[in-house]
This record gives sequence, structure tokens and C-alpha cells, in this order.
Amino acid sequence: MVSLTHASNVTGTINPIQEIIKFLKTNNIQAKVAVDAAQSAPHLPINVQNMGCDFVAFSSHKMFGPSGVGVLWARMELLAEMDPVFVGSQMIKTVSKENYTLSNVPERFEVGTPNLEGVVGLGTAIDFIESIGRENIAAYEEELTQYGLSLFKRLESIVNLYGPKTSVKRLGIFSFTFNGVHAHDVAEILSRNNICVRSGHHCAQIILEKIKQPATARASISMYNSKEDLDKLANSLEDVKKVFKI
Amino acid sequence: MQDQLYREIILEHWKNPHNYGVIPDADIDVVDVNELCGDSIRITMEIKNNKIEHIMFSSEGCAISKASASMLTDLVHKKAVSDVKKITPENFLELLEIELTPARTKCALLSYSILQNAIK
Repeated sequence: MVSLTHASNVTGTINPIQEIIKFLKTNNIQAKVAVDAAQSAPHLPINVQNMGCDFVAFSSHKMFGPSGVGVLWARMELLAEMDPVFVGSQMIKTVSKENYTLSNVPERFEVGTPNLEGVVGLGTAIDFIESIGRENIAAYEEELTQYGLSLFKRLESIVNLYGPKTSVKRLGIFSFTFNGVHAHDVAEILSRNNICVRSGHHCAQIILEKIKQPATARASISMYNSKEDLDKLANSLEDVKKVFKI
Repeated sequence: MQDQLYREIILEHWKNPHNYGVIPDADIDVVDVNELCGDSIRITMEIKNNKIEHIMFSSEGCAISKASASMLTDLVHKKAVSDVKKITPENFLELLEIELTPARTKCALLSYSILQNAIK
């Protein structure tokens, strides 16, 4: 199994899934491919057939839906071969003293009482995203990303941005370190201006090891953000300089 | 106006931490991490006649965790272990005189908990 992320939650890099799958095929590597699309699902058009992968997973809470629910998609022929990890309730078709038979796909994987409100909420979130259009969202966010990158370029004497420096094949995820000030302290100052960033290792310790940083601060944009928001971020980074007298 | 959290004294301890470093072959050598944020602090100590004769720390983390560790080492230096045990988290936070949110309280108390665990 080759498991990889569609877009990095640290650098925003969009992985070339199709090319990676092509590489596996041309090199005769018989691996199934699982794609984590949690970061890309609210930002990009996703076509699992074109991608050519075997599994795709994403979470509701990263796409305006409720927490505690998500989607695992897999090719039908794989699902038909798979046994459920958990048993009980509607995954069963027939039960006798000596035997049982499993329900069809997908019921055989949907054990127990379903998270109805979560599923309905996620459905509504998907409808909302589709009503705006993923192509429109991606185009708007690319423009914002480009603008954000130009602001970080302007600040490069005090701030170090990680990830691709162009908006192509990149999401608007800005992970950065501030010269001489720890990410938690940067986050503290930004929060005073109502800018919410995550600071720390982003549960991606291996990338942090690679870029030789104990922590970064990360600002992520979405379709509801504007260029003014990014200006506010850049100005607030100037405030960090003032507070820490740098 | 002075910043309520990053007070002058905190910034001073952050930029020029006291007792910063590692005592070689120390009697006590402990390190711990705040799993929430990844900040880590190492404390080394020499204990003589139940007294903290020498204490040093090194850290990787935010200004609050580093400054508070610096102030803590000043506070306990040359003190009897039994007296250090009596310092409550509240006592220590009062000394810092800063307004802390629950998340930042963990940063401020990281060195304190490492020290207290080490002399338990």
C-alpha cells in the first residue's frame, strides 16, 4: 500500500498523484494507492477516476461540515473483497447458529447506529461547496495564494516561508518561522488581532525534522478570506517585531 | 504601554536567560516535553546536603517557557530541596506576574513541573 497526502498540511504542496501512480505502474509495483484528501477536499476539484487511486479519505470538519464524520471511498472491486473490521447491526445479512452472511457494500462497513446528524451535515456542506463550484473556489484561492506569497516575499528579512514559492500546484497554506521568535509567541501576537494560526509541529514531525525547525506558525486561507485578511496578517507580523523589540 | 504578557522582565529573561546550559555529570539530569506544543526543557542540578547547589536549564520553546525556566532557576538556586518542594504552582505563577490563558499556563509551568518531578 502506498499512502500519501493529496496536499501537504505543512507546505501546501499538491502532490502529483496521477504521475506517482503512473510511476508505480511503469515500474511494475503492485501496490494499492490510498490518498489522504483531507487538506484538498474543500479547495480543489477531485476526480477519483482521473486520479487513478484505489482509496480516498477526507474529513468533514475541514470542509465546513460537523466533526466526527468523514468519507472513505474505495474502488468497488476492492470493497467487494474486503471484510469489515467491526461487526454488529446492519453489516449482517443473515444469522444462523452456525453461520452468518455479510450485507452488501457499503452496508457491511457501516456498523452500528449511524452518525445521522453528522452525515446529513456533511452532505449539506458538500452541497454548499458544489453550489459555489470547486473550479471557482480553486481559481479564487489561487489568486489569494499568489497575493499571500507576494506579502511573504516582502517580509523575507524577518519571516521564513516554507513550501513552494509559486501558487501553481500549491494550496494557500502558509507555514513560516519568524527570525528569533518562537512560533507560539508569534501565534499569541497574531491572535490579538483576531488572526488564528496553528503553531507547533502540525502532527507532521518528520517534515519539521526535514526543515530543521521545532515548530512553525501556519496560516491557512479558505474561500471566505480576502486580500484584506492577508494584509492584516502581514501588518500583524510587523507587530511581532515591535513586541519582541527585534 | 507595557505588554501584559511579554513584560519587560519576561523579555529580558527570554533574551538573556539566567543559568542557561548543562552541568556535566550532574546529580540530576531530566528532560521533558509539553506534548501539546512540542516545547522541551532539560534541567541539570547538583545537590549537596539536600540543597540545590547548582542548577542549569536548556530549552527549545516559546518565550514564556524559556523566561519562566530562567526565573525558576534563580528562585531555587541555593535553596533546600525541602523548601523547593513547598513552592506551589500558584506561588510560582504569582512570581511571574503575567496574565496567562490556560494553554500558556502550561508553557509557564513546564520547567516547574520538570523540577518538582525530579526532586519528588
